[in-house]
Amino acid sequence: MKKSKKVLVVEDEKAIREAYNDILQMAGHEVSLASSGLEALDVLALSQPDVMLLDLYMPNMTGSEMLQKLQKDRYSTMKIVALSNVADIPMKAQVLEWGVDSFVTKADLSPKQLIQLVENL
Amino acid sequence: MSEMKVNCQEAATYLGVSVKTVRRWAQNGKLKGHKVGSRGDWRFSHEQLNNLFHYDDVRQLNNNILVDIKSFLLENASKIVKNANVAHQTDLEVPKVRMTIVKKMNPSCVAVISLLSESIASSDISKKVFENMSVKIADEALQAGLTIEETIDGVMFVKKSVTKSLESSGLLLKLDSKTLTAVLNKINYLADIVSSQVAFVFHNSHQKVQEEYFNSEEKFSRVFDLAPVAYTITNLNTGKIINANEMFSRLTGYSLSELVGKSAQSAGIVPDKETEKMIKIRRQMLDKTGYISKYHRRFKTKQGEIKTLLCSSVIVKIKGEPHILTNYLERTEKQALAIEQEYIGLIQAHEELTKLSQAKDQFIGITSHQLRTPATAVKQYVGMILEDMVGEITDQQRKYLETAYRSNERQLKLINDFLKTAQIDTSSYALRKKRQDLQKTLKTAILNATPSLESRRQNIVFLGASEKLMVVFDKPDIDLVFSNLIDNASKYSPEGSTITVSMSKQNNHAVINITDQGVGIDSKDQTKIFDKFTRVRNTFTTPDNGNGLGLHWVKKILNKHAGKIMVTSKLNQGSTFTVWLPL
Repeated sequence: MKKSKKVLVVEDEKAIREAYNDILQMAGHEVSLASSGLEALDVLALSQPDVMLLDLYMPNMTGSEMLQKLQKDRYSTMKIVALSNVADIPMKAQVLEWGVDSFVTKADLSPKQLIQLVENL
Repeated sequence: MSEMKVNCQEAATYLGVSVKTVRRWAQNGKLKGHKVGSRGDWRFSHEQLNNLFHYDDVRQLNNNILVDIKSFLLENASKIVKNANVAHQTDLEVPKVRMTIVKKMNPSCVAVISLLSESIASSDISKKVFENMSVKIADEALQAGLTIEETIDGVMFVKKSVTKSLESSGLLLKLDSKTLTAVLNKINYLADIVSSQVAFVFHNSHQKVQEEYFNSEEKFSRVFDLAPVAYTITNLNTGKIINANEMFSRLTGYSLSELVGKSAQSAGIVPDKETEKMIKIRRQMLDKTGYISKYHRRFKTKQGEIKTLLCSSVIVKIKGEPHILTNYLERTEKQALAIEQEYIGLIQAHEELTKLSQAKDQFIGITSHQLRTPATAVKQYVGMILEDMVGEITDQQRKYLETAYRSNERQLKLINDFLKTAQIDTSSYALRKKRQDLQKTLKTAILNATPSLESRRQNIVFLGASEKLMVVFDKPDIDLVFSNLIDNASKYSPEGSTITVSMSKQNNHAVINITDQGVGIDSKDQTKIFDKFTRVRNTFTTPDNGNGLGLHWVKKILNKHAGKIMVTSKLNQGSTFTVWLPL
């Protein structure tokens, strides 16, 4: 039995946010949700998840802005997965430099792959 | 592996000669080929064409005709140069005024031809002699006031004219094919030395001359101070005036000490009317082209009078730093208005273009986000049901949902492809080019393709180049080129067949051949396959395995790398796609 993880999903698109919520909960993980970078910072101030799934393109502080704001050492045990709509190669290189653990194009992820991604980090 | 044949047109491109010459060689047996089709035109194998390329040096060929060629060139040198001038002027529509300057180089061109004629018949003339001569030519061209383009074009047209006159003299016909290609290649090679050396010297000395000129204070300040036209020199980065001449002081009423160290705005000579936007546009034009001719500014003199000035600016380097050298001519208000109208027109056109370009980028950005998001959500929800995360479903429900899932996947891929096309089509599409090992990228593409080839029990054979080929290219894009070509080769070939990928160096190009044993492409379709959304129907075509964009991208990307692609193919025998990338 895999260990249950605390996952924070930061995604502005409601349908996708809730899909990720359902998929990860069904796989036995504890999920919290945020719909913008600002909201995510509020959540992070209260508790630290094991994994953060972070959409890079959102209104009210994009994922990239948020990454720059996060103090990396404060969250050193938290794994970060950057989610993008497009396979943006320069952006991928950039966010990996900011200490992101994985860069994923959302449309490439099936529910099963999402679970594997979170569990294998 | 089946042997691919090329037609006369392709052979001509490949060899760098005219189609007529290829046919003549074929008729004379200098180039082995065979006739096909109802109209009976020639076809040649690549091997045969390559044989023509791999020749011994001319020096080993003792041939009387070479002596004839030598004397022919010597006797006709002036005529050849004259013809080159005519072609130069008409082909490039060079204005007559510029041609009189270009023609100043005619004696040098005649000298090049005599040196060329010497070296065709003898191996004693070394590359060094040509290089030295090229330095001299570049110097002369500089002094005569030719631009680098005019000089290089001149060399190119002389080369063309030499080959053309040799062709029409009939002398080339008397040579056997080996000597013939040796001669033609030597001409090309020597002309290349001249042009590359000219370009190199030109570039270096041009900068040096400019810097020396501005650094030799005495000479420069005399010209600058006594010029009958008002001049200023402004630091490009700080915008501060570092020098102005007597005429400028007279024009504005300010003394030199009141101007130096200040920007025109802070010196108070530019009235408020000049907008930030105009300054920005001027700066952009300067950055882009290095100069702006004919724009106008209104300056306020010390006495408060507004003067309208017609200006021209050019970027010059002084002690390694960029500065703007500007001259000013006084104009009447009416004259200025006419110019202003022209200028405003330019600004408006510029703004509209900028807006359009921004709108286009925005459109691409929005579509990328908005179109993909709903389809991504569908993928998640249908995926959850299909992966039995929310309970069992009936077989029929599963079948329908799987169809929906696949359709949605196709939709996502189409959106992706559409975006990629839009990106590649737009001129602003930034290539992240750098000099790197091309073979490495090709090998990676082959490696990545191997699993899918294995699933079709196809073999891939790679014949690498004997040396490392460093090419300036954008890795993801060239990877896309190779992957697409290998993928196509596999897709349109039967199971168990072999795909051969080879790489070699030919005439300053890296050449990659990708050959399959597949269905081939009908000659009527061969020109169409690189167009957007073209799909040729054959036994391997299914709605799922292509969108008619792959080869369009390949061609676009290669264009942006100054490369090219050519296909030779025969129905039911296979195709070879050949890619050229400049080294």
